[in-house]
Amino acid sequence: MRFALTRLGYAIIVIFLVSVVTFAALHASPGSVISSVLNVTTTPHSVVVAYERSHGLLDPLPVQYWHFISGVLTGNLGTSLVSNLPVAQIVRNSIWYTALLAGSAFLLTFGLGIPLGVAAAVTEGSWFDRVIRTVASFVLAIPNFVLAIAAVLILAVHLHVLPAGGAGSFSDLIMPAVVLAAEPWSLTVRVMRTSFLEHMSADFTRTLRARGVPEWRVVWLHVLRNAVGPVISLGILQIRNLLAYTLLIEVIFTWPGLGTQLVNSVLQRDYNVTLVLTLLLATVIVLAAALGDILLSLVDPRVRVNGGNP
Amino acid sequence: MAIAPALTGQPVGHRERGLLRTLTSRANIAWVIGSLILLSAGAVGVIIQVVPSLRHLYLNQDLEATLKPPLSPHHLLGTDNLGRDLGWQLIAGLGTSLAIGIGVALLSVVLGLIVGIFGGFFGRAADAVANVVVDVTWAFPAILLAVVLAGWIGPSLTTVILALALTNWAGFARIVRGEVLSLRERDFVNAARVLGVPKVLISVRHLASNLVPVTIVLTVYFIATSIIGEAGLTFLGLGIQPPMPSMGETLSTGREYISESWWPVILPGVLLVIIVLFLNGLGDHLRGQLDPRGRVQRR
Amino acid sequence: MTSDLLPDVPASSPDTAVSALEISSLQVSLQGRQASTSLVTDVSLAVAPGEIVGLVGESGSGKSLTALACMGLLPRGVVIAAGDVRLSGVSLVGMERKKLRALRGSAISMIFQDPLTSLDPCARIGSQIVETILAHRDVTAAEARKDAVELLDRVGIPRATERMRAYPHEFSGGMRQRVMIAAALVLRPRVLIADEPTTALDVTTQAGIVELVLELRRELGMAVVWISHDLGLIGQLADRVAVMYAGEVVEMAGMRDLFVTPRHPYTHGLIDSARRGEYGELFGFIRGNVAEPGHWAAGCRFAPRCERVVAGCEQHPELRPLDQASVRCINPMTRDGAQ
Repeated sequence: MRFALTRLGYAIIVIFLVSVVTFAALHASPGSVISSVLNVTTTPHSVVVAYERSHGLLDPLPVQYWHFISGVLTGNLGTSLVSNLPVAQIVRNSIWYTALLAGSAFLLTFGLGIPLGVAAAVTEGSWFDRVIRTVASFVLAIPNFVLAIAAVLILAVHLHVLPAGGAGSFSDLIMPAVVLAAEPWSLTVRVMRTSFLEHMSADFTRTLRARGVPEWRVVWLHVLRNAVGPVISLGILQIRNLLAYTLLIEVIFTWPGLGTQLVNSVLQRDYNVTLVLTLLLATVIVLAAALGDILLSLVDPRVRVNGGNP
Repeated sequence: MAIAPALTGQPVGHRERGLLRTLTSRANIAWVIGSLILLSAGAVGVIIQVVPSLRHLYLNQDLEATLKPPLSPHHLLGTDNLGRDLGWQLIAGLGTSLAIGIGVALLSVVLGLIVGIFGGFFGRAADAVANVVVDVTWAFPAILLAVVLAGWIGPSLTTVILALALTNWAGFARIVRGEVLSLRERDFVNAARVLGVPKVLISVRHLASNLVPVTIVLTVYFIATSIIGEAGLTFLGLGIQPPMPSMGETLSTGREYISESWWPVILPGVLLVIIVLFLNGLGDHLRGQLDPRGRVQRR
Repeated sequence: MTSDLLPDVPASSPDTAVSALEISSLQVSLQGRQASTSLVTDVSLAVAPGEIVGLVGESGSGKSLTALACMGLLPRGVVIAAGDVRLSGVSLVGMERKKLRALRGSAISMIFQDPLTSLDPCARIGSQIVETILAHRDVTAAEARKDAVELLDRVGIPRATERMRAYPHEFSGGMRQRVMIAAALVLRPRVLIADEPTTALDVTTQAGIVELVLELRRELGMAVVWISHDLGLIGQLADRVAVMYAGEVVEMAGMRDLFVTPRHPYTHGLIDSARRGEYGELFGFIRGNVAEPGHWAAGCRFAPRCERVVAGCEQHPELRPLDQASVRCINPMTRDGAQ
């Protein structure tokens, strides 16, 4: 329990630092912020300055930061410089799409990855095992945006089996989710399999068998519990990758989530949106890492002592 | 106990055998040839971008010959939507990617070394600081970092390089730190300090010999990830801007015409996959030769 | 459960005719793709209830494999090619797996060398003992826990009730080994095989474990096979000793007899180097190295290193009785010392 609290506390500190860094980077020069609103070269300088002053852009950075943070904590996330919509609304519109996509990919990764990894380990050497491993290696070799485009080409353009983009129906979700899950799934299967096999011939497994413990308990209780540790550690890494790739996949499949919003906001120089969305994603990543560590500590008691380094 | 261990594998340290002999040995020759091919192709790609009289090879737009399929006359790999020869586009893009990849990898390694040594060697406080820095960086995967940088300085080549370098160094720093920490414990470091050898000399000399193999292997992996990273970022529009050639760019524009032409999409993809497979394989091979203790993990 | 498999032999009567554990002409082989390699050949050993037999040899001599064969725990690809293992007269070789599993831990137990890696790091030690009980006995979890606490107390774990919920990494090496012993003996097995349980421990802790095993042997009347490469340790424990070399037993004798009058040249070399060595360990003062399985000499396997080689050593020697012992040598050392 104490471990969980300290870990979360540390995560909050990191989130704070992250927000500072992001804010500083994006607001480094007020000129760049307003260039999306006013055409700086043609507007008279006095108008520009007046605008800056009224929007608090001439205040020292820490003050601006304070305004921003207090706004966030009261629910005011600013306004889009391009569309004039409240950023909070933009977030609300797109966050569920991203959650759906990322969530589906997550489910596919672990829901399929762990059982298949265990199955491959338990049937080691069989054709099933070999097929799984070959597929995993093959998938890992292809960068996921290439995979995405190839999938669109084959399945949408030539075979007309699945739609190429949009988010209208369930079938729109299939390709993006599968492509997104492809790489983490492959890694999960591999790691799960290797870890499981290693633990099947571990010393403690031999001891358990020497005591006459039934094989099903040895395998499904003891070995699995020990083998899952590395997969959880990998999972933490994967969540981060998953979120990052979601950006890419959303754009490719025109999936209206946070990713497309974020990329568009950067290209349109809509800083307020960029800032909030970036922070949102970064916060989720940091929290995910903290939760992953806590989950690991529940499974492997040694982690609680060493603070995350078994 | 009394069983003599069987001697397997090559002795550690090839210095006695000579570099040239090692490179041309049976195990290594295929990789050496592959690397040379890759480097030459990349060099060609860079040269045609740099030498003004050669630029037409990939820049020349022929609006009457747009989207010609591969094996068309004059265009072995076809043309893109502006009639530019796809083959030369890809070679130029390869040159860009390779140059960026190597640059980013070196930058990551240097940064990682500095922070890793700093954190590992100079006491608890420095280590804690380094850890926090790494953790903050952790919150920004490459794409997110590129987004922030693009927001700050606009999408460009520099953005890509910085984003990729700042993403990769952390993992390397962690390995270096681990290595430094384990070396600190070892007796010979303590012995040297007792004898009065200054801290700095210890860190440089003893660490170098232990870190060189790890660095080489990781650099190769970093080049692979950087190439993919650059392609992905450029694809999104956050990276290299035209007319600078990039495989990501080719993919991106090709995507708009995907229903009419598969080659601007498939060919860069295949090329990327081949390069990445090769580099990963090279990294694995080097790891087998140089890092039998398995301190490096590919992902 | 065990009672319908094994004859009702009272554990604490040391003079019964039926050995607690009897290994006859055991041969263990590694099954390769084309041919099999012998790892253990013609090993015969009998242990009476309440007796401690030491099994001595260097690594690679086959002693651990012999033990694993008795338990039915040979690794993949390694099988019992010939011979028999009998527990209280009941043959274990070829026994149905379910029945064999039922005997493991309840009638015949084994403890291993490294207590750190030999215990499930993610399971509390109490549950590991309780699990063993529940695997073999039809009792409630509460009763099993009570038994477990008693046993932990008996093996010397302080504050046993609290410590039930502790994890292996919270204990020292010596304590962990005691936990292993507790889990192995909780069901009062007739035979305990100890495969170098104290090798990873320091000398003081080692003494504690030895004492514990001796006490438990007395209380439970069980037969013990203690495997070690440490002659000094064997000297403190064993009633009889079997010396193994290159997969076979080369000498078997009463403990004192072995130490005073070693007959096989290898045994003599072991004792000699033990006397010279600091902790009683083998220091390879016997010239040469042990050959690996598959590369054993066709005749006497020790001949390449033996100083007493004579004509006839190219024939593979049998294990023959000599005085009150058995030796596998045609030119053994006799009572008079050297020749």
